[in-house]
Amino acid sequence: MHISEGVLSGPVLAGGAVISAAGLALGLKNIDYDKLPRVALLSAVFFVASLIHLPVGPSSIHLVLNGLVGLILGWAAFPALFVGLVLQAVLFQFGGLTVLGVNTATMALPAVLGYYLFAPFLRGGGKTAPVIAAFAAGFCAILFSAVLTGVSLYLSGEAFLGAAWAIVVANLPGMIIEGVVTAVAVLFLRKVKPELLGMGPYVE
Amino acid sequence: MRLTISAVLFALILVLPGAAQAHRISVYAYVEDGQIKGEGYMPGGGKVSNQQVQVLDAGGKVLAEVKTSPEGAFSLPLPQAKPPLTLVLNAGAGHRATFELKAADLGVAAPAPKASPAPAAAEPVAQAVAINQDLAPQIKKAVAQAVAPLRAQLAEMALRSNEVSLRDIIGGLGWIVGLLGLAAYFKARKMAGGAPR
Repeated sequence: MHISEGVLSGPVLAGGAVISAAGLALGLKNIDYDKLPRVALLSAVFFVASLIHLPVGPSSIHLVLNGLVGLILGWAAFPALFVGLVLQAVLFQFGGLTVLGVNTATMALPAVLGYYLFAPFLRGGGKTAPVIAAFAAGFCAILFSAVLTGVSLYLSGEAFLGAAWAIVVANLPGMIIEGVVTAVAVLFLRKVKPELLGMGPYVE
Repeated sequence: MRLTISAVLFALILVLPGAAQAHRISVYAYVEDGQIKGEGYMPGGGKVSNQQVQVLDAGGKVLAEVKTSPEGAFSLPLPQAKPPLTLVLNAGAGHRATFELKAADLGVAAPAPKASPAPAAAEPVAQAVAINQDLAPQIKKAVAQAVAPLRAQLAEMALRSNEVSLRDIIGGLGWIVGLLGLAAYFKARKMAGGAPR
């Protein structure tokens, strides 16, 4: 879902940059002293996760974990993902610097959406609701990222609507894997570091 | 403690060869016998099959178009245009790679010796040239054979350059830690300055 340099049209690039700038401003405001280490930690998680490829059928897909980042950080997902994307662009030529705005928006917007939709369920008691919510957060984050990627390509005249949908379908295994990984990570964090999820320590 | 263990496991996964690759396609090409030949690579060593390759001139005009084979290879006649030429591999879904063929890569041949009316003294030279021209196909073949391993090595390197090195990953993580320190420093100063004591 890292769109390469030279694919998107100017207006789409500018639109992505504006959305990302707004998200970054909101996210930075959202970070207080206590939250800072969490932002850096999840930025590192995202940076590394994108480099791990899982073989799926003839091709391979990589983790994004923007769902997990969003669940824990909310709006601060914007700066966290932005830093990871800048480093990936500079060090690995993943995506590129001109596409940074669009790539940040396509990955961070779904993360923030997941925070509002699913994070409240994580703090509740029981085990089923948090697991289902975490799976849904991981799944939907990739789904919406794929949709936004398709839309940016479609608006640039790069892909027809059918091709844009093909991106969503191609990412289906990724959605399921992200859902499972996010659910496992949330279960683990609930046990070991519940305060990361905004829960007081020593729950359960 | 358990977090530390999982962090170590995480790092181990990264070190495993082949576990870490960039999600980035690349394209490599060379010119042989008036043909552009090349391959497109997927992250992890796969080939980019059945995707469009375009040849652009310096002004960005599309000169030729071809699709990669199921094995990821492509070849097309070298278009008559001034170098540098740019190859663009477009694998859809926002994945795109380029490769530049410079004048030297095109092997712009030295102008062929003209068959000028040679003076009698130059007869042996003319003969030598004639013999050389007879030999030319064989020489070409021999050279092609000799550079074949080199070409394979270059293709291998093009493939390798697609991989992410552990050094870069550690470097990136170092940057994140550094940014954290920077942000913490300024936040702490603001807090110290803002709170009247």
